[in-house]
Amino acid sequence: MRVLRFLLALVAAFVVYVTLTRVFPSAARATDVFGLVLVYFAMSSGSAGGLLFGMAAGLVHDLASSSPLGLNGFAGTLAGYFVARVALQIESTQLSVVGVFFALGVAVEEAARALLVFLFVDAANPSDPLWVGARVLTSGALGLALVILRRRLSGRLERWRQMRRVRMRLGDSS
Amino acid sequence: MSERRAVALLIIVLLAQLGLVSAQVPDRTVDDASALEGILLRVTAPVAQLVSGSMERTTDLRTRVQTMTSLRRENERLRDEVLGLRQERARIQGIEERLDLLLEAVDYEPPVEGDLVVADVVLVDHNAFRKSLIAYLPETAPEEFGVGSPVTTDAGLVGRVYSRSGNHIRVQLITDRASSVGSMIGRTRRQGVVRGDLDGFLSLDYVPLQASVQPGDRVVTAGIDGVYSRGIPVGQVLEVSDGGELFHSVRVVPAVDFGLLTQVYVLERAPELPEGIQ
Repeated sequence: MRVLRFLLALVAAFVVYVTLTRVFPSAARATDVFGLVLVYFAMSSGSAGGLLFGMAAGLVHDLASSSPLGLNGFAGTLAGYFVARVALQIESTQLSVVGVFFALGVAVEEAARALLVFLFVDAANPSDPLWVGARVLTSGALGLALVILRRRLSGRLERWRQMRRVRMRLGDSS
Repeated sequence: MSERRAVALLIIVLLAQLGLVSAQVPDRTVDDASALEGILLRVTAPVAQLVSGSMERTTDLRTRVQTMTSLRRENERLRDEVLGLRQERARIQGIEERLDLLLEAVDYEPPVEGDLVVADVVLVDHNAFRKSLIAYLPETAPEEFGVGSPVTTDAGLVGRVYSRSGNHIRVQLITDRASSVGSMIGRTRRQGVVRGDLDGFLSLDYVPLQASVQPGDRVVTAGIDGVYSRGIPVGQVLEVSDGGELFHSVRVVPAVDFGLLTQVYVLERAPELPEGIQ
């Protein structure tokens, strides 16, 4: 079930990425939607799960952005593993910590990607630090919003289930 | 999975991807895409195309909606305009009906308008004793287009036919000294006779001193001479002076530039008067 949700999230991220690239290129440059998916799922996985989620998200990012296959995969693998390891050690549910997780995860991914770009693709033109910073910050904010949304939806779902259980009991007793 | 195995997996995965990247990068120096790139392109292109296509359809839809909105507005505007024009037409019809009633009450009959034929001008002779032109009628022109037929152009009156031989006609120009055209001043309806002048102008005779004439007034045929129907432009008043004790001396510029004539309209001649009246 978790893998299925991850795959669905990847497809959604792919569509959002392609749409943003076409309609709002600047927004696409300032947002790392695959990084969001990566961190979101790696946070609640073990080390192996985190790196595999990260690898998958990075490879799909490569496919969507026409970059050499493995460039974002490498960065995503590292970021996924890093986020999963840190999440295992801190285990905090505080929203501020969650926001920092997203920002840190994307920062690690950006650093790894920048290193690979420098080594293999184009040493003369490294990534623009301003855009890198923008991606890190927006990822932190969007990730936070994503988690808040999920918690609210989960709360509502739970309340609805409880209500349904109560009604079923009342129906049985009458 | 133990942490040690996870680290081992991490290293293997990272190394594999490093190899993958390094394998692709040299291929970027050549123009053709590598086989791997080709496969990836085939996988991802349809999805991107689908997204792109749906966006284009959305844009098309938006454009269509905008076009429909503007067309609807335009349609409403045109409906209003049509309604206004219909009302205007109804008003004009009312005026026309009232005019018919008035004309009937005063026994008015509009001047007879006959057919016309187009004749090619062959020769214009300004210097001869009689200022005239020769024109060639179409083969099918009937005998009604002969001596006495008025000759005009779009600009105004040229003269009248005074001889016909086969399909050739000779036309006496209104600038000829012997020509006389029953005319009137358009503004005041004051009648007079237009005659040719020596220098190519016209003179409007028999306009009383008490009548109002001023430079710029239009002179048209009066329809009183049995040759020309009413309302054909003759010329424009150039100057007015006291010609004598009774009449103005009015100089008129012809409406037609006789130096530009290539074709003229020959009108059907007016019907002859009944014998008792002649």
